[in-house]
Order: sequence, then structure tokens, then C-alpha cells
Amino acid sequence: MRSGFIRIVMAVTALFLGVSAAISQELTVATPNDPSIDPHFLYVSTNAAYGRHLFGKLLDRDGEARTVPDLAVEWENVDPLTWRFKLREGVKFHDGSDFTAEDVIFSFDRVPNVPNNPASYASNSDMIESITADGPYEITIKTKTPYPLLLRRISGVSIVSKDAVEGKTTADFTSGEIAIGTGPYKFSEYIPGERYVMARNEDYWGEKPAYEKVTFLIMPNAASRVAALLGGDVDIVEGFSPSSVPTLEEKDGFYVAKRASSRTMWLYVDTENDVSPFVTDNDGNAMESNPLKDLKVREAISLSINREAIVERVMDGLAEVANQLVPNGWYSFDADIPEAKYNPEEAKKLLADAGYPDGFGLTIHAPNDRYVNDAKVAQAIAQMLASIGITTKVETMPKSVYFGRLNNQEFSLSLIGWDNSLTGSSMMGLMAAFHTRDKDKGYGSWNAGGYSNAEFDKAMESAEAEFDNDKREAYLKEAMDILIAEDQGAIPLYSQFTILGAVDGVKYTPRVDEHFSAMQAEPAS
Amino acid sequence: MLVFLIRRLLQSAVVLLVMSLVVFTGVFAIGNPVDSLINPEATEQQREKTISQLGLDKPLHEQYFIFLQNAVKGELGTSFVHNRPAIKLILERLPATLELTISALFIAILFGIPLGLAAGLNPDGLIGRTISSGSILFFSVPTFWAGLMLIMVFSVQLNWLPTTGRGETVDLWGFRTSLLTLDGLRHLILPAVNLGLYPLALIIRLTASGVQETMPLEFMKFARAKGLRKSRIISVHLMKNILIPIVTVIGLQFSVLLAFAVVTETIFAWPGMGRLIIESINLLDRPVIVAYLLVVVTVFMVVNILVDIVYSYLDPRIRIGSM
Repeated sequence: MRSGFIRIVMAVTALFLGVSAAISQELTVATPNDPSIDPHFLYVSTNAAYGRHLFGKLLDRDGEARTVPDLAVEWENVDPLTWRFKLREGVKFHDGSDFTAEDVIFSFDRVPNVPNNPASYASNSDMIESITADGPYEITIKTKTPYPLLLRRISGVSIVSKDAVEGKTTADFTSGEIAIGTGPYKFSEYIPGERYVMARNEDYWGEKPAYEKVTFLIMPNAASRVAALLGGDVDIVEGFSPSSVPTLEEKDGFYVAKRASSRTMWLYVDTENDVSPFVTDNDGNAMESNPLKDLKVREAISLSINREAIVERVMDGLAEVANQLVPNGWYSFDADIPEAKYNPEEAKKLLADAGYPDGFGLTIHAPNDRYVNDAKVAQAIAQMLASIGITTKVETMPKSVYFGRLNNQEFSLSLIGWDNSLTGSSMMGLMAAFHTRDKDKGYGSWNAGGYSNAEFDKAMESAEAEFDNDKREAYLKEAMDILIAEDQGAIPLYSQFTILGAVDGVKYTPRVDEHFSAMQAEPAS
Repeated sequence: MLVFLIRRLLQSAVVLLVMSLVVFTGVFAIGNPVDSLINPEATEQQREKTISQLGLDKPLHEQYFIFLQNAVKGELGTSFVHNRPAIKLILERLPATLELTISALFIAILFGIPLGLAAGLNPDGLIGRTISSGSILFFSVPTFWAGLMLIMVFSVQLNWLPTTGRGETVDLWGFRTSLLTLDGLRHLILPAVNLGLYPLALIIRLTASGVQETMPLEFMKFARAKGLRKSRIISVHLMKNILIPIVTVIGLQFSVLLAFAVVTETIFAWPGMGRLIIESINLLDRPVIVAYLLVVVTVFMVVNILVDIVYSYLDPRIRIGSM
């Protein structure tokens, strides 16, 4: 009798549940991030990922970070300052209007002029002097200086419809009124903090994605996202801690999609200040000199770090040891740089040679809400440093506080992860983080360690102006060699993996740039 | 009554002003939203330009003065992260939180008062003891853990209810509500129970101790001696006398749940105000933080005024004019 009642209750509830069970043409994704629907507002990677669904660019980057044609079909570099593009003909916006050169010009004009924008996409269009239409499907772009990486940078500029967007604001994108692009998905509904729904663009010019409808459910808590996957409410989960990986891999019906990403983690070392803010002697008193300026000390720090252990124990195997600042095997990766060794004995000897046989005191700073296991990694490193006599304290803080202080050069040793996908090389990372600060030229804007080496700067500037891919790679390798092998100006750690959880019914291929894309998903056969 | 209201409103205005100053200074001291939001590819010049466009390069007092000028006009600033008026963002999220709070309190009152009565009337019986220790459990269980357990048991293991999210909604007087659809209600049950646990425990304990204190008093004995029915003794003589502290707590809890349902909203992906504020704090979205806290202070003050008015009806000795 009693079990009969329970059965009825369960049968009735199962009926309701049937409604939410996914039909194979629909994909439901649990994500921590609210989108900015306006593709020119708030340049953070999650928004760039959302933007790719609705909007096209002239050129895009595929899942392997290679340049691929999108709304431009042909291009040539007429002279170092001039580029000519042929646009794709017959492409229609989601509202049925034609895509033309006018929309491209309008979009590039709009990017730096979105009001109230704390993170502008303008760094992708700043190098451009002018854009002119040579016809409805032809444009010429002139750059201010020779800019070989133009093709990579313009993949950061989404093309919106001039007719729809002119005179409108970000709020009109959020309401969906002008969320009109040329991309593989169309806007259906957005309820802030709750859901963002897209429908397949049946008139898309390229390969149509597998799912007719994609629903992003916005869930800020990682454990609830995993629970939603286990409970059958979603098909894919974005963004969760490596510690949840075994849970999913052990359960029937679920799997974890993972791959090495374009983000490399490293430590900034204060090589500039004569008195470094967080270096003390063993009694905790400020030091009159900065031991971190000594190459031997920096090498000792690098040798003391057991990267294998960090990867295995802190990152649960979901990372790859790095000996330089681009992921292994990438364009501009320098195979001649020796492996990053772990040798605490050698490290102690180097410290003694440098005049610090008893070590000194140091604080490592790290964010605690930015990278996978960031705070734990900092703690592990502190213990490793302590084992060679550098008594290390750990101070972690939210990213909202961390990055401002980091860039203000307030730290002595600090953790950062750099996403190399934009240029598919070490170019942006090295230029921003290690070129001598030069405000006028825009170099070294993230040089938080104050590294400065004229030879390195020269190699980077040559690389920036070099149109030939092989020669550019040679310059970049030379720069990396100076920075890491010669100067140990930074301590490379590891490249992190991008991980997603999914049901067996959905096959997902992660992108190297960690961007989620519904176009990478298809029903498993 | 009128004098009371005017005096209260004046006090409120001062509190709001002080609050805005404290929050404004606090967020200013933490740092600059541009530093954490701006793309690392941006150059120094772009960063400086952005900061000055947002007016964040001005000295604190100047920024605060601009804020006050706009606030007087009813504009509390535009969110840095959403690029929409902060007050609009908050009011948009208010109905979801209100719905959750009211449901949680409803559950807490519906079960709390009868259970508290039962426990108070038989403090040494098995039922009384079970209820009392149960309420201690509800007090001490952390909300996030209880929430995750509810999801694991009722959604993942038993598969009875959806894990998270808000479900289907319908428009009612211009607001979206999930109280009128089956799917919406199914989504609401777990977060409402989760949020209701703490006030439930509070109401049980207050009711039980109120009953225990009141029962031995002279007037209760007299009522019994008069031969009144037990149901009348409890519902009129007992309840009226123990309700004042309970109403106070319900009022306070209502404001607290409304303002700080953050944990439940985060765990259950409930699109309410609590999540908005925590996300805004993470990104230093100052206009939203300031506007939110001003809204919350206002809610607290309105609820407290209402509670004071309810007192005067419950206990004729309390006169509004004398407060």
C-alpha cells in the first residue's frame, strides 16, 4: 500500500520532469556568467565567447586559435600600412537586411565610443588610422604604423548592423531589440541573472550548428552547476573546480571534456625596485637591498618549485608543466629553452652563492577568485620556497583588489595567468608584461615586475613590425630566450586545462582559448 | 500618527545620507573597477582614458558630490558592468527576491507557530523535545550546506524537483511571478525551504518559550478556571500575549531575508537581488552597490515602521504617539 503510494507520487513527479528533459535538438548549458549582449561593451573573455554566437567578425579565430575567414573572404597587404579586404556577399543580418561595407565601418567606429564602458574593445581597433569603403563589398584599412598582427586583432571586433544600431544604446541590446548580427545563432530571450536563449540562424551563410535552440542557465555556484548536470537539468557545465572531475568521471552517463588551454601561469618577480615592498630579512625587517634583482636568487626560486607536484596534486593533473610563457608546441614556443628543473639542493647552493645562505623573507601574492585553484597554487609555492630557506608568506585577495595593486607594482612575487589566444603566440603577453614601460607607445602596460632589458625590447619591437611569419617567430623566440633562459625575468609554472562537464549524449570539443561555444557541441552518435 | 511618520521619515533620510557616504568611501577605498575589468591587452593610455571617461580619476569628494546631485534627481548612477541604471537593475530583480522571501516566511510561520505551540505546551513530552532539538538543528546547519543537501536529495537522488533556476513565470501587474505556474512552484519549493529554515527555527523557539512563560501566569489560570475551551484559551488569550516578540522577529527576518538571501540565491541560481549585489561587489560595480544598500536601508526602515504600527494593534498599551 505504502510503496504503491510512493510509486504514484514518483510517477506524477516524473510526468512534470519530462517537460524539462532535453530533446536532442536543444542544448542547455550551465554557466557562471551573465552576458553583455552588446558585443562592443565590456571586453572580457566570457563576453567575447557569447558574442561569437550572434555576431560575425571580418576574420575570426577557430577552436585551435587559427585565423579563419568570416565576413571577409579575401585580403591582401598592399603595403605595410594598407590592407584591402573583400567582403562576403549575400550575407544577411538576422533581421533580413543585407550586410555591407557600411556595417563594417559603423562597427569599427562604434567600438571605442560605447559610453560608460570600463573595458573597451578598442585595443583591437586602436592601430587603425582609417577604414574606407571601395564598394559595397570592398574595404581598405590603413594602420597608423606597420601592424602585421592586424588580422588577429580585428577578430576582436564584432560587426553589428548599422541600420539597427545607429542611435541606440547597450540597453537596447540587452532588451534584444537590436541584438542583430550575422552569426550562427539568433537572439531569442534574455532574463538577467537567469537565462539567455538563442535559436539557430537557419539562413546562416556557413556551416549550421547542430542544435536548434541553446539555453544558457546562469548559475553562480559551481557545486550547484554540477548538481544541475547530475540532476538532468542541463547538458553541459562550464567552469568548475578540478576536484569535481572525479565525481563526474565516475558516474555513468557523464564525462569531462578537457584540453590544454592557451593560458600560461607564471610568477612576476620584482626585478626593478632597490627595496622590494614584500622582501624582508629573516627577522621580518625590511631589507636595504632587493635580493630578487640577483639572477642567482631568481634561478634558485625557479629551481625550488616542483611543477610536477603542483600539476599532479594541486591541479589534479589538469595542467601541463611550462618552462616558458607560451603553451608547449605553440607558434613562437622555443624548443631550445631547457626544461624547468626541480632541484632544491642546487637552489640552496645558488642562494648561498648569492650571499643569502640563510635565505630571507618574502610574501607571494595571488588572486583567489580568478584562476583555477589560484590560492592553493600560491600556498604550494610558498611551502616549496620555504624548503630552500626563503620564508614565504601567502597573501591572497579578490581579483577586484588584486589586479589594481599588481599593476601598481605593489608586490614582490605575484601570480598571473596570461591567455595567449588572441595572437596565437607570445606576442601580446611578452609585449605587455615584460617590455620596458612606455606609455606613449603602449608597451609594458602590465609590466608588474618592472623587467627591463634593451635587447629584449629590441627583439620584441622587431617582432611587432615583422610581416614574415617565420622571421617574427625567430624574434619572439629570441625574446623568450633572453627573458627566461638568460634573465629568469619571470618564473614559468604551468599551462592550465580548460574543463567542461557534459552528458554522454552531447559531444563537446573544447576551444583552446577557453571560450564556450555551442558551435563546438553536437549530439553524440 | 502623522507626527510619528514625519519624524521617522526625517530620521530615515539622515540614515540614508550617512549610509551612502560610508558605502561610497568604502568602495572607493577598495579600488577601481577598471583595473579588474579592463582587458590586459589594453595600453596604459587606454586605461587612463577609460578611467577618466567613467569619472573615476576625480577626487573622492568630487565624485561623491556628483553622485549626490544625481541622487537628488532620482538617478543613482549607471552600472559599470551592465551599462543600465543601477536602480532599474535592482528593481528588476526585486520581485524574484520578494517572492522567495515571502514564500520562505510563509513556510516558517505556517510550520513554526503550530510546532512552537506544540513544543511549548508539552515541553517535556517526546514531541516537545523532538521539536526543540529539531529547531536547534535548523539553527546550526549552514545555509549553503543545507541547500546543497536539499538539491542532492530531492533533485539528484530522488529526482522529484528541479535542481535550480526559476522556472516558468507569468506576468502579474507588470511583475513576473512563478507563484502561479506549476513549473514555477516546483522551482520555488527548495530555495524557499532552504531560506525558511532559519526563521522557522527562530519562530519555533520564540513561540515555545513564549508559551512556557505565559501559561503559568494568573490570567491564564483564571481563563481556565472560567471554564473556557482550550482552543479559545490558546488562540485568544495565549496567542495575543506571545505575538509581540514573534511579530518583531518576523518583521526583522523579512528585511534580513530580503536583503541578504545571497547564499540561497547563489546556490539555487535564483535571479534575485542578493546575487546582483554579490556579483557587483566582486566586480566593484559601485553604482549598483551604493544603490542596493540604499534600497535595503529603505526596506528596513519601512518594515520597522510597519512593525511598530502592528504593535499598537496587538497591544493597546503601546501608543504610536508615544514612540
